Amino acid sequence: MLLEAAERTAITPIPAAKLHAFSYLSDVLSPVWNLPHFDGVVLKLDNGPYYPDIQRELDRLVVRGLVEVRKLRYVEGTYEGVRIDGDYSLNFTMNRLSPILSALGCESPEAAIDPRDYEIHCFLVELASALATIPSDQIHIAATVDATYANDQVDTSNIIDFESTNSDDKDLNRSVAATRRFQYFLPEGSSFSPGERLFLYATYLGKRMHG
Amino acid sequence: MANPKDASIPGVNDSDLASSVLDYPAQPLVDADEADRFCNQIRRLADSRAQSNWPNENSGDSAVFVMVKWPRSVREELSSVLGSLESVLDPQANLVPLFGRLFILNRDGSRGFVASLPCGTKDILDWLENNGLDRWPVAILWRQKERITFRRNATSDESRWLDVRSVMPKTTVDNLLKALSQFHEDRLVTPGSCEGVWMKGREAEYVPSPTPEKAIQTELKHSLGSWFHGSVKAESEDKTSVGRIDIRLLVRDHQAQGLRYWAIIELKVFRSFHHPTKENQTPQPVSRNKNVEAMRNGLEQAYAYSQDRNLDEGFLEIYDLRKDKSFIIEAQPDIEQYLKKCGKSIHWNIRPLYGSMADYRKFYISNA
Amino acid sequence: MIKFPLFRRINIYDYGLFPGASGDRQLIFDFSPNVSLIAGVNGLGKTTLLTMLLRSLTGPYDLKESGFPATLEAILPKAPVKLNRAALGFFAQRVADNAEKSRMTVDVSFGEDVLRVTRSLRNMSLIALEIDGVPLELESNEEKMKPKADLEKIQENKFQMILRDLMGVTTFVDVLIVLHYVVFSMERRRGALWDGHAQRQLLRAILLENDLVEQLPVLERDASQIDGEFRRARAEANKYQKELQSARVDAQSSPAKRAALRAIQYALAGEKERLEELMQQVVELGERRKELRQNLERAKHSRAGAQAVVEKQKFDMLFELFPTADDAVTLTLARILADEECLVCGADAKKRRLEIEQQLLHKRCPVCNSTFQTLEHVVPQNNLEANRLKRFVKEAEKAETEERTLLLELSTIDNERNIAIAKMEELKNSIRDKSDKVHIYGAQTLEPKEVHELEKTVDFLNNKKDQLAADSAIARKRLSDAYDSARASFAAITGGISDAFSDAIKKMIAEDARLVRGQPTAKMMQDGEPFKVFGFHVEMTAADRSGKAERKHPDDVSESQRELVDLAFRMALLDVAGRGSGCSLVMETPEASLDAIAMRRVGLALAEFSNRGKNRLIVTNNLTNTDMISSLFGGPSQSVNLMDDRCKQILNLLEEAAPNEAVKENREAYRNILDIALSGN
Repeated sequence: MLLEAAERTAITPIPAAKLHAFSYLSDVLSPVWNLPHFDGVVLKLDNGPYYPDIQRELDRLVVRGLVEVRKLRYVEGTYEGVRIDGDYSLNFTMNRLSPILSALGCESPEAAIDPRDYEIHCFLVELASALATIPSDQIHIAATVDATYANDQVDTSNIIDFESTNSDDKDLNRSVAATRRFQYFLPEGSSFSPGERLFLYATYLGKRMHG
Repeated sequence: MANPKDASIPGVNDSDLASSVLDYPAQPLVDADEADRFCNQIRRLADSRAQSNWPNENSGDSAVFVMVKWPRSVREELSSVLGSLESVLDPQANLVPLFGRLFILNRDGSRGFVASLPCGTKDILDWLENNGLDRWPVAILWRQKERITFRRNATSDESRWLDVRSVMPKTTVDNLLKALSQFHEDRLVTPGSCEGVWMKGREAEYVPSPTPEKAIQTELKHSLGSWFHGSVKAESEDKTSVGRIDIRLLVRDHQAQGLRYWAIIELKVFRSFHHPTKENQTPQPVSRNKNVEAMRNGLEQAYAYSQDRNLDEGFLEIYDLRKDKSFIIEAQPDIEQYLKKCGKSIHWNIRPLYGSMADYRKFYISNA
Repeated sequence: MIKFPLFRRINIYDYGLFPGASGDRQLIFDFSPNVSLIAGVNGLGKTTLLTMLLRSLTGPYDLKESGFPATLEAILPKAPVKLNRAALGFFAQRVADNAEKSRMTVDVSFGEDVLRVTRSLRNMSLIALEIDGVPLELESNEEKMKPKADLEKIQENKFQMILRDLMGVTTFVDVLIVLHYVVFSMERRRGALWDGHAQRQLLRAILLENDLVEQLPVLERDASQIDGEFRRARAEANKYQKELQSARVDAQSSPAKRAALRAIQYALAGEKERLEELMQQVVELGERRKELRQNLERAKHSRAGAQAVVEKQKFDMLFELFPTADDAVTLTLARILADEECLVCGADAKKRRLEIEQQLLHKRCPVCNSTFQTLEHVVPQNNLEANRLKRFVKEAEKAETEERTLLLELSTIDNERNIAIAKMEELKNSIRDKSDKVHIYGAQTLEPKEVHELEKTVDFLNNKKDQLAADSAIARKRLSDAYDSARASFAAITGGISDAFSDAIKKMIAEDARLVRGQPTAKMMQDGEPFKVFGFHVEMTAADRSGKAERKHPDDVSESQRELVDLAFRMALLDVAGRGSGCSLVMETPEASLDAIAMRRVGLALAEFSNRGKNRLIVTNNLTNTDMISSLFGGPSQSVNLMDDRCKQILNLLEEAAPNEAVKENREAYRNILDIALSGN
């Protein structure tokens, strides 16, 4: 679904680092769309987020022909060992692709195996569109300036756990708190929709990246 | 504006958030449907190029922009027909030449691919259809005419015209009134351009849909957002249970570091009939008093809202869906009385809608 | 800025253990501006001497009445604690004359100021105090008239305030923390990096610069005290509640009703207790779940990192063999070779791995089995990497097992937690029903006066308990808010410490180690969630792992690593908090846990420390492991002049201390050992 959203936004082929960053931002920002977190936890690394599970899934999709990879390579990991890298995109020549994407909720709630996946997909597409506005396509850097990831109280190599089990713990997910705070710059009675909040947050990330 | 009582977020600078909000009017129409969103983005692109006198252009009078679901997939499909397609990244910022070219873009018009136009502009719709691109919204930009023709898809009969502005309209009352008038002319005066106003198939009988206000409200919101793009946030709020619908327009307020209200528009409709519960049922007539009441309420609300939000002027747009428009509602005594009291601060307009082209020609064109 | 102490001189008078080399019952030693070595075999009083330095500054007070605790407790004492009789007699009990007339004078500077403190060795009481050569009156004429015990207290109090101000900390308790956790490293003491409470208090005392330095311990104490009061009130309320229940049972008219009510009450009490247990359990499971999730995430990275190292080797080899093959094909084969995982069907492909390895060995294509031509070097070159690869394969397997175990445990915990939450809801409903029933019994009975009296008492106690619960919540919130601000300040000032730590540690150990700001929590009260505080932990490479791993617990590292990491931490802290104004580090037998090579390396690192700025180093050595000694002075040397200089830097207890039997018998041999150790040849 992440890749499909990236295809719609035309940011493919997308390097692994950016895809992982997109994945992180979708996890941390999912409450903006009233969705639960996908993981709620990420290891803070100097070069931005990386999800071994997602990478493993990508590798499988590559071999199964649903995903294409170019410039497959191994790069030095910032935490342990090395990690695989490459530029990923959907393989449109694969006949099974369309029905699979439909079943995953990329077309309509009716065609999805789980109708909730359609909502997730809408969210991912909007987030990808918002991130596509970031200057020079520096999505992987955007994740490192994200309010939750950049929390300077958490040093690199530490886990950031932003899944809150306690409603008082609003400090956990500063990114969502920031998207809520946009509201305070509006007059009373006016509001931002979830999609608008994602775009505003992408603008905010752009500002953080470029001073 | 920013509530100082509410604790700011650690590590997040309020001034960064505020300046992001100030940039809000540059966002796409995030809540519009994909076609409208795309159309607005192309207009934005065209306006900005016109304002800098069409930089980097050589020849050609038209450019074609097609929104597709997966631009890369379309590129792969078209490469056998068009040869290699160049990547396009943020055409608004990067000043790629537009004319004489066919753009395959995402819904925000921000990324995709471009090739030379494969045929004359008049044949482009057929070409798109022949090449499997007939499902997608298409905008054609005309340099000489300074217009955009927009179709929700290449085979649609309906098309919309949008002016390209070499000078952006400022946020003035006159311009707002002009935008409202234009919206009425382009989208509402005849049936078919704005879905959801009339009951499908019974437009000529002047039978409205169950919620014509809602349909008009959504279209008007996006239309005003597009008209004043870059300077206005248009938003709507529906409280249909009490019949109140309004559109709010916000502009940047650099001093207060955020957005502030610029204008509030109340929408009302006059109608001859209620929406029938069954498809072929004869619709129940709406009393004259009901329409008078609608206007009175509209005036009162427009006034109350503008006062409430500290605005000098209010706007009331009444869309007249009546079959027989001869009864002059604004001339009724209590309306006249109300207009005397607060009319100066309310800009109100009654805009006629016709259920058929014949009526439109008969009553509107001839009167004009 | 903190001004750490720099010890300049010690004079010990009339103390039986240190008669002095000339036998005039006086030991005088000027500490070197760099390294001072206190040399002597066991039993000559090395520890006693270091303790004198410590007690010259703490006087008869410390953090606990028995002295310095092995690990620090969650809540700091409000004021320094007077030592008990045994601790006060530390010096007296070592000599026959009870140290009646013994005293010590220590010169120690803090920045530009020099403090000269003279104490009795009998009971550590203050005899005289001078600052910059000017004697200080520690009591007014009026105070001089007070009883001796009160007078001593007044004097020590003034001394403590003077020392607090000289050091630039906010309380004398903080002076004690700095002395124990920065200045003095005594054998078998756990350093601040390995003691969560100690680390928190130390970092607070020397790094935070605003009101929080003082506020935090006060808020901690308040919260803990109110929590204690609340728990006492709760126990009292429960006691009367039980009495009330019995009285109500007694008031019932028939034995059957009494039995029925008692049964309900009994069940109700049981359920309430169970509910409390469950609530606590849910909190604990939540904490555990969080921890597991985090460990799982780490394990995934470790597994993926190690697997990819192996996979990269296989991929590169396959790429050299079949440069034109599609990346997906190469990846599929590399994954089978590296992890025995089939990316096509997900199955375990061990058998296929062996087959492919055979095919490659016999120069056959792993897809169609045809023979192929290849450059000879490809396969052998990869063999060179075999050992390295084996390590990563092992590491990946280990991490994968860990990941699987964690996943399983996480799902168990999730399950348990959900069950506990559901059970809690059930219990709440049942408690509500039973309470209603109890009420009905009460309403149907004419209860005697005693029951009403008891009811009033229970109400009163319950109100008190509720009030204390509310106060406790407020106190917790205040503390947690204060820690929020403290964490923010802490984050802003700690980069320098991590850098200084890296500089220091790389000179002492071979492993790659770094100091990381962690997300520690501290449990300060009996019930409820721990508080998020601030602090560091160490990440270090190890022989059997591919990357850096967290080392939070002292048992996660070897004894020598633990000590050296702590030493580097101390050095980093005094560099940053003292801004280069220098410090005396006092260390007891730093070589104890090191091998010969490590001793030399650490010795040189310590020498370098002592040569930097105004830093001074005071170390003891028991002449059994002498390899470090010459390194401490900069390495082996034959120069006679240099040897003379080195000798001046030694407080030689073989000469200065009262000899024990071993020294009497082998004095010359020990002298030789020391001479050889000094020259390093």
